Amino acid sequence: MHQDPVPPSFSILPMFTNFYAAPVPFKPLLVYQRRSSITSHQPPDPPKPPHVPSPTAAPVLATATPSHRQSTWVRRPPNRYRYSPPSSFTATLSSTFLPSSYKQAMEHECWRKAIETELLAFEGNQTWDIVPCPSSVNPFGSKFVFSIKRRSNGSIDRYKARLVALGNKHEYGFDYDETFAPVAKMTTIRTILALAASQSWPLHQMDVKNAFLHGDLKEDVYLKLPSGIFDSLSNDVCKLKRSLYGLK
Amino acid sequence: MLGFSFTQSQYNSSLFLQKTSIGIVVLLVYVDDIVITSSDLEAIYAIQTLLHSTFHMKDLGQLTYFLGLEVHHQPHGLFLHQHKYSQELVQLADLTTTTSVDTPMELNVKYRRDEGELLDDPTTYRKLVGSLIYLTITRPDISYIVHIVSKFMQAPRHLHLSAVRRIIRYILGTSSRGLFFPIGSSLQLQAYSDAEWAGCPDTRKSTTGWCMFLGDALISWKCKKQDNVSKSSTEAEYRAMSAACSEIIWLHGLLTELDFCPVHPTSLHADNISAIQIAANPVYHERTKHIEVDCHSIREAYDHQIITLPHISTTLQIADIFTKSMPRQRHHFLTGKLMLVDLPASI
Repeated sequence: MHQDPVPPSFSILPMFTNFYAAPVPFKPLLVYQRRSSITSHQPPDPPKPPHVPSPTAAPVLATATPSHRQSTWVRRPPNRYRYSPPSSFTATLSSTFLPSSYKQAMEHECWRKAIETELLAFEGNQTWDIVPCPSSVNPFGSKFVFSIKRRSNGSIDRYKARLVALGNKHEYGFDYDETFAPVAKMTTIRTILALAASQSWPLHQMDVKNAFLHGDLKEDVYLKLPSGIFDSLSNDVCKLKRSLYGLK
Repeated sequence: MLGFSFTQSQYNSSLFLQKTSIGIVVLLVYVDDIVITSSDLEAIYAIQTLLHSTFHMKDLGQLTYFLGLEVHHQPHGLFLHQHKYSQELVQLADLTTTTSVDTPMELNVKYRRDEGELLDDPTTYRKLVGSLIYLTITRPDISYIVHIVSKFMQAPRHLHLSAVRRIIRYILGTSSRGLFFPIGSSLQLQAYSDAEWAGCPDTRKSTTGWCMFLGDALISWKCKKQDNVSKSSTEAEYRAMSAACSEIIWLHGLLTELDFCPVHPTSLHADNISAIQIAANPVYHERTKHIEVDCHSIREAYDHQIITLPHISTTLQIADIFTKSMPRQRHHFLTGKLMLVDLPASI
């Protein structure tokens, strides 16, 4: 048996794909741990047998190297833990990686479908018109953001692709005036629930699909064509009729 | 977004109401999630069909999971909890294997701004406290200590982190605890207010704590450091009562809009006799003349019979839990009073 070279803190990583999307890997809070103070203060780089790959070290390396901005690290638990995931997990391990670009996503069937669904929603909502670019405007870029929706037992519900406008280039007063999101106060929610309970009223719940796309836009917003989707002439842009995620 | 014979509530812009001869339909919008309730089931179906024809909607049936809140429909009432969220929080803090504790904070410990070593990485602290703040939606029992640790978000230190870890160990033992809204409870509003005088060791400001019950259901509470320094405990209590009074007026408006106009004035229970005297008695004393005019709105509410001001002994003061750390027994007593119950193991 060779000695495990990785500090024990990393053993939690395979459980939570969501939490280690941040570039800094989750560290245990060292100071108030009574146990295993020796192991947690191990020298960070103990000599490793050369044939053992170190997948957990990959994200650290990737953030340390300035030339690689995006880690190409595939998120899966390292084999050497002999980690046996629940059966629902095993089936999906191969597809749990999140593509970071349209190009990467198109290599996988599941993500291609997700993109199609999103584009169909745009068409159904008549989100945009494709027009030649007016000379005076500088259209926004856009990108796809990918995520995996899970059920509460950890199995995969669906793959989701969402086109977002790069709204960080927005300027107040020029591109947008008003921002608004209908958010209920928690007190109101509790009051309504308490009231419904006391009167034995039925409670129902609904969910608006592509909620953002229902907002009508007053301003003129132009979007560059999402890369790779339309084989169009370079001068065309999307003129948005509806709001899009990422816009303000 | 909505145009069909709904009116927008004045008291909360995301609440929509439709009043018909049969009853009232209430629509609560949270960005893309909608909760519908009504006295009449048919009316709910009618609204759902109407919404379906206009938007791409997904009908999720009976309300069970909303914004991370889990809702259980039980024979005696509604049970609202965040069990799944708490478990994820414990895992995020990497404390699943630790033992749980009975109270969320240590007794007689004051946390200061500049005590202990600075944390190398404040992000984890901020992430944990942020999650705890979201957890207070159904956990009023931790709101006092969460209010304290969130004061140190700017520059967290190791001592503060140990306090956070203790809260999470408390959560570990009580993750299935939540609010219970009983069926058929009265709709009489009751309020309790308390204050901790000069509780913040750094600024010497006081803390406001109040909570409100609709019948037996706890619907609203607050734990907040006051904006101004109070020179006496009476003054601190008085400010807390005034803050509670504003909330009562708001809740009165909301309930009236929902056609449940409160018949009786709301009793605002306080345990400080002199604060009650100042509020009820229109005499400006030498020591109260510096309290701002807006604080005296409470006097107006009293005159208009929106509130009454009964005295309550400190031992029965429920809002106590929002203003100080307490021993185990008292903590259990007060959480019971808050209608915080544990989810039965059968579910």
